[in-house]
Amino acid sequence: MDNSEKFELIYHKYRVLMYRVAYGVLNNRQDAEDAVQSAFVKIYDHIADIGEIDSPRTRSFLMVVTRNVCLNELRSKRHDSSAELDELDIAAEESVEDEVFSAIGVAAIEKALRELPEKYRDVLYLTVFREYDLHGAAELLGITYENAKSRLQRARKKLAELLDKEAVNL
Amino acid sequence: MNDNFKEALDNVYNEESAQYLIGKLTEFSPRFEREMDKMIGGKKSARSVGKHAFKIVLIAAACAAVLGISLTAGAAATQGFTTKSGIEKFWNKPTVTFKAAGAENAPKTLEKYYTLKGLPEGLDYTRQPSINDDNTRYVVRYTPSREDYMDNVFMSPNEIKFAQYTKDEFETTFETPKYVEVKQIKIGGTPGYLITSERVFGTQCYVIRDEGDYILYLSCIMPADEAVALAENVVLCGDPMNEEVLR
Repeated sequence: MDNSEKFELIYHKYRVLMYRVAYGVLNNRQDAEDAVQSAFVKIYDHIADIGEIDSPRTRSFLMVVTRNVCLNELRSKRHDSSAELDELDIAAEESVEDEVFSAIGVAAIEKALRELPEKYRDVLYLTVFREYDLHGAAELLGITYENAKSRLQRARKKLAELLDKEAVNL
Repeated sequence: MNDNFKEALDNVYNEESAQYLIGKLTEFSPRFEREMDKMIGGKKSARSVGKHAFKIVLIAAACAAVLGISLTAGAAATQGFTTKSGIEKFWNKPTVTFKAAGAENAPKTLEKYYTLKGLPEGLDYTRQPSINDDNTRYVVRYTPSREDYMDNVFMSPNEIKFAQYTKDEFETTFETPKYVEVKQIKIGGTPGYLITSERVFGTQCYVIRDEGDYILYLSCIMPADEAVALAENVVLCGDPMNEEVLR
């Protein structure tokens, strides 16, 4: 199967789902359709990164791409770059150590992840789970490298705080 | 990163994306459908080259398609239709436009109505007829039940569209990149065309036929020979708005 056929399969299988994701963010059918179109343009550029088509992981990936197209659209409508720029003053990278995850377990980590703002979680998802580098993640999310980096740092910091709280609760 | 973390991340995203599998939004606007069809058609035309060569390939495909289907530029009467080749401006795709020949001597309104007989078995179709105000166009959409439609939407939309036009009313344009084949055929002894394109979910077929007084049109996804057989299997109907689905 070549990329064009793969793209067409993905389109027919996931367009409705992507539409619902977009509508959930934009709350307008016309805008949601435009966002889905933009998301498909982006997806075509990353078609090689998509493995099995009929898979929850592909579904999740498409949701992330669509959601971020929508968030960028909302931001551009608000001419709101300040929120992104504010993130640039993050201090040195903080990471959550592997042993923390080992000690806490999947259910608790899931709980913490759900509390993370989507924009932070999506960078984690792309870099950790989908193994994009920061440049690739930034491109997919439609943000600068610096913003992707700062989001990742914030995600890790916030997650560490949440997990720490979780550990106390446990 | 730790496996627990990856598993948790995977679970959270799978669960979150699954919530969008259910919802009321299922329909797209015609504009969206049109633009996405163009995008998908364009990607398929350009499949063997990089995306930056996309436009160049479309132009080449346009030339090949025009030569391939032996249509000359300009209008020419051909059996029951005149055809005119052209280029769709936005994507530079070749097109062919069909008009009915002999429209001046044909009825100006629909005075008899055809309906399809012999729909494929196995699906529970809903028949949705409509006639325009001028009584020059009669369209029937045969839609499988919604559940079936959703189950099959990935592989086969299954919807069948049958239409009847006065010759004055009839004019239709098909994009004809290289994966679209246009053939002159006889349908039930009358002149017509079969336009096919191989899609992921099956063969998209259009059959147009000059019935004598009117033009009959069929759009469906099924093997070409079955589409032609279906297009041949038309019968006059009594009340076109209340006819039942005929097997």
